[in-house]
Amino acid sequence: MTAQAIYLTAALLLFSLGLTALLLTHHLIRKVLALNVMASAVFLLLVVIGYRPAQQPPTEPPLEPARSSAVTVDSASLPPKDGTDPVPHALVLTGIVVSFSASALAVALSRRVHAVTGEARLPEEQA
Amino acid sequence: MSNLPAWVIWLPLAGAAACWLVPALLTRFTAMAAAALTLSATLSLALQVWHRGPAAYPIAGYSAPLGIELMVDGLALWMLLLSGVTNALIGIYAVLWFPAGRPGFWPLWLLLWGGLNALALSADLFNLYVTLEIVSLCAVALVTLSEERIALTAATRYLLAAMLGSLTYLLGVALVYGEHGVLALTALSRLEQMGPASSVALVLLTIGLLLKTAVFPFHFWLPLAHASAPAPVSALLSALVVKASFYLLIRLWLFVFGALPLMAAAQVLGALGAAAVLYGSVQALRQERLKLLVAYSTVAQLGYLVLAMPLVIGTAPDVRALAYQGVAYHMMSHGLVKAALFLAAGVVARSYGHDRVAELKGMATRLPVTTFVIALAAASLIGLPPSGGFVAKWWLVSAALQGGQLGWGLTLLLGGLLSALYMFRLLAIGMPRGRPHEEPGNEPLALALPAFTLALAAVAIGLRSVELIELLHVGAPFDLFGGRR
Repeated sequence: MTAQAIYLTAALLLFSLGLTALLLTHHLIRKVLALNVMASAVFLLLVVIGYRPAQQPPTEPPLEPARSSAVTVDSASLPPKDGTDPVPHALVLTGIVVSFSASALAVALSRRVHAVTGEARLPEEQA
Repeated sequence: MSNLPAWVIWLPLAGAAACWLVPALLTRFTAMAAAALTLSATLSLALQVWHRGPAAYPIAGYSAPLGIELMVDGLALWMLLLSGVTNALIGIYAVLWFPAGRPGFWPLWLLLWGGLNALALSADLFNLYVTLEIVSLCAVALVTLSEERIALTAATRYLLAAMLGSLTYLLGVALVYGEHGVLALTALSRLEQMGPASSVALVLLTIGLLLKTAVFPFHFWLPLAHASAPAPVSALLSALVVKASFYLLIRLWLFVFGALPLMAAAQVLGALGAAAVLYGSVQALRQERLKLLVAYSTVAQLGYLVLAMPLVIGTAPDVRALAYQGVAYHMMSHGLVKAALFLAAGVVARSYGHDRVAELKGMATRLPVTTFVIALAAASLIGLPPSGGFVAKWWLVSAALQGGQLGWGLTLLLGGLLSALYMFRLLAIGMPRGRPHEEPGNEPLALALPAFTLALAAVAIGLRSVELIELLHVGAPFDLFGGRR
């Protein structure tokens, strides 16, 4: 199992865990936490996607045959150079800001619900 | 290329910021000034696209895939115009609805408008996620402005559902990026091949958007949130906010993920839509409160939009063009009608002090203009000619007949019948029988007029369909509709 596969599985497990908690718990703060776990799962997935192992930077083409053969030996025997794609990182940063704002609003609403109804859970009301 | 697309987004956002800065008594004037500017920018953009065709606007001069582009085509313009006209009229109503000392509505409203415009114009999957969040957070915050106690829990439930929808959508975005390494819609639409990761991604994107559009069985948060919000907010939510996520859904299915085999999936969506039409209509028929009746009618009417997906996806070009026009027309006509209905429901609630349907006897005598608004809206909801609702249904049913998908066509007609039932029930109670029950009351005409204008607009778009459809097809992919422009 490669490192990437482990992280991918972890992300999917976290997401499912958060989703289960969101659907099964009733306490509002638990629900907000569950959503945050799900958000972290997505961010983890994005960071993993941004990780590009063994990818030679395209700006460094081999200059001469001797050097190029050295490079192939390198990539075969030594740990490959890590490459990272910066775009998912930017997405994660933005995602954290968005998720933070949404969580703040959710916590504020939960507090209001608690203050007004005396319970930090949503009633099973139907219209 | 002028920078009008940026102005359409920037003006309401700047207006929202200004609303927080000016003294409370000036807020509404600031907001209305920003609204007037935004509406004129929207109309100028519409004129420009009409004359010069679709356009892309690279923000800060960086074009895709490096930068994030805004894109204006007929469909985006369609959303912009709907949101412009509806927002402006709801704003006029809100000036009279909210007392002068309570400035909470105005900045949130402008932020919502800016978010809606940004959503219509964004051409990048992740940017769309951000705009979806702006729209949802503003919508939730607006619901909490209500004085009804139930609005608080309704808003919380709405927020949790919206956050779940966003995260599901974001997971889909991550998968798309993982497979293709691009987020720009135009780049994705040019892909010839899409792998299994993209199929999973599209499922996730779709579920996220269905949650936000409140399509059956994800409608659980909608009725209470829409019904307990203040009248202008209910109108915004039902007319525009749920349309925004649907707009994105149709853009993704029709213009972006065209390389995937979607026909079977579209049938599933159609079944959800049919269930929504039946469930929403039956619930609307059972409601005792006017605002809940209107909210459940929204659940049913959103069903039509999804119901049309099997007619748009994977059908012959001419069937597809008909169905696409029908969906777009239904979006616009339902937006106008639902805004009108919620504003009218607000007038009723103000005038009676309650909105219990059974106790609205003699409404037509007491509130003649408002009752007329409800009747006009009913005509369009049911699909009576010459309203916009009729045109939409005509195209959708024709597409179903031509495409040999009779079942969907019959469901559409049944839905019309059911909406006739729940709207006629309301009107039958409101119409005076024999001796009038009520003296003609002093109707708040200033509140009723914006609602009347919206209802009239819903009928009027049925009369100018040729021009509007030409606008809708600006920039639509040529091969998608068999050369129709």
